[in-house]
Amino acid sequence: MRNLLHANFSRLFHSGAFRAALAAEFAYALFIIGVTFYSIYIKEGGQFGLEEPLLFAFGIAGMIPVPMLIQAPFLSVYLGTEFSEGTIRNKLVTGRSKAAVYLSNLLACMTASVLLAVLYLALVGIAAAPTGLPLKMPAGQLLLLACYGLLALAACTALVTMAAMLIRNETKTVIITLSAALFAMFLIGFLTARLGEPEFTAVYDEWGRDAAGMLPNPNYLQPVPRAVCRFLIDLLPTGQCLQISARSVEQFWRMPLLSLSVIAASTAAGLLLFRRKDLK
Amino acid sequence: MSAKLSINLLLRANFFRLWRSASFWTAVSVMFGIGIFELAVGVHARQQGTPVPLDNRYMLFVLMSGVVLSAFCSLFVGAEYSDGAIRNKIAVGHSRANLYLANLITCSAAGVLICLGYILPMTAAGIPLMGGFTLPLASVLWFTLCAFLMTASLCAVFTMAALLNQNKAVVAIVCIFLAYFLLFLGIYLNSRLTEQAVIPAREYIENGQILVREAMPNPAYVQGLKRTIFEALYDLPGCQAVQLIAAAEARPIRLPLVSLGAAAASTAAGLALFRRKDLK
Repeated sequence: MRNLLHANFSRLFHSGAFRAALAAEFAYALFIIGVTFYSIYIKEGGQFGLEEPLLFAFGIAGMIPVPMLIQAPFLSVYLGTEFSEGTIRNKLVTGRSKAAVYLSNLLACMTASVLLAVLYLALVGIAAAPTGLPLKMPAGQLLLLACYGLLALAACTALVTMAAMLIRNETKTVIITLSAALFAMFLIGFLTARLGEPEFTAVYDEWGRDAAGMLPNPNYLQPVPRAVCRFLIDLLPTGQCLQISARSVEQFWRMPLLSLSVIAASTAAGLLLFRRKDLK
Repeated sequence: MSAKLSINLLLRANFFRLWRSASFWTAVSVMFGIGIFELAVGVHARQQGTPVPLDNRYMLFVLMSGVVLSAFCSLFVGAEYSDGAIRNKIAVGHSRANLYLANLITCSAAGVLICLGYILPMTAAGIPLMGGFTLPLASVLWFTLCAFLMTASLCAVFTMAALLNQNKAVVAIVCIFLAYFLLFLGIYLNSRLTEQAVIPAREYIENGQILVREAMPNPAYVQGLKRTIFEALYDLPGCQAVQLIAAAEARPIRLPLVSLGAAAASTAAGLALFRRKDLK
């Protein structure tokens, strides 16, 4: 296992896909730093706290899960290479177990994902600290949110690893994981909009007066579908990251447990199916 | 004569491969599934009392076709490289131009068929369930023709990317991101270009008194050179999808011409670069 990990990390740091992901994360951090500076010095707004640009490591304002959009193609290409160049067969021929191969890949990918997020946090932290932006959130809470975010990224990595190890085709994995990341983004947007529907809506006349009082909103979600929507948003790593980036986390205790459950379930399912897979 | 025969052979081989292509049937199934889903949403909304016309649901395929085609083209055209088919075709005497054009024609035809995967269930079940189109038939046909031309122009861009880069995974990433980027750019440009130049005067009631707010210029209105640039970008294939839905009744002749122009330009550039490419 140690040899496999060593080989994986060696390949990771020499991989073009990882360099491209680093470049993308770097560009994203520069973009957020630019927007932050623009808001403070040119627009002279700066009403936000330091935690806002920092937590954008996990998505833009609860709308675009940028780390997932970087991670999905990068990990798919990195893991897909194992299959396309016959590396995985060589590893098995030299006596490594399928479980060890799977887990070493998972660990290497999780490390890479966390490294990318840490790179962003370091860059934005170093650039934004001298601007004097106040921290409008307790430091402990910010640290906790960052840890939850990293755990959610690890959960996302576990899902992408499972897909890559089972699909085996680099291009198909890219298409499926990238489409899934984008689909999750739209789904979270839709579910959040549904949860935000008011229970009653006011009816106004042309003078802006309350004409018919408050009417029940047919789009308002009742308790059971509301709980299901809430659970889905918390369960999906994309949903967790977007909540963290928007600082709208409601149930602090639930998110890390769900992330760990996603990691455990996807790894167990992935291992089980990968063991049975004919690697030709 | 020989060149014409040659491209016919290539086309026959490509269409033979298309009918057996899993990626083609997956793309058709995805569009079919989206068509059924959108139809169900429309029927449900009508049952709830919201007067949703069939046109509203029918036109949505133009928004998704680019995204689905980006994945399909990278898989279908990319297969030429992975199986060495491209080398074999050149070795038996086909010209590079014919090879390029045969792929372009096949992908464009596949694009139309993939769109039909949405259109068929929408019209076959939509007309009896939601009533006919509210727009004149000529407008619906104009919209469909423009949508097919836009699809073909997107296919030209994706085919160029797939034939100029041998790495299928990279092509898939670039094409999917490009398709989404163009779509979001179109949505953004639509919102900016439809801003009113003047915010009209409004009377409203505050603390029991009727107050009047005078008409004033809208600061969000885009004008001058910026508006010209925005309008030019809004015509691009992909961005055009949003405009097509908005302008179906007006039927501007500019949109299909821009699609044809974009297809011709990308094909000319692709052909010039593909001729010089080292196919190894």
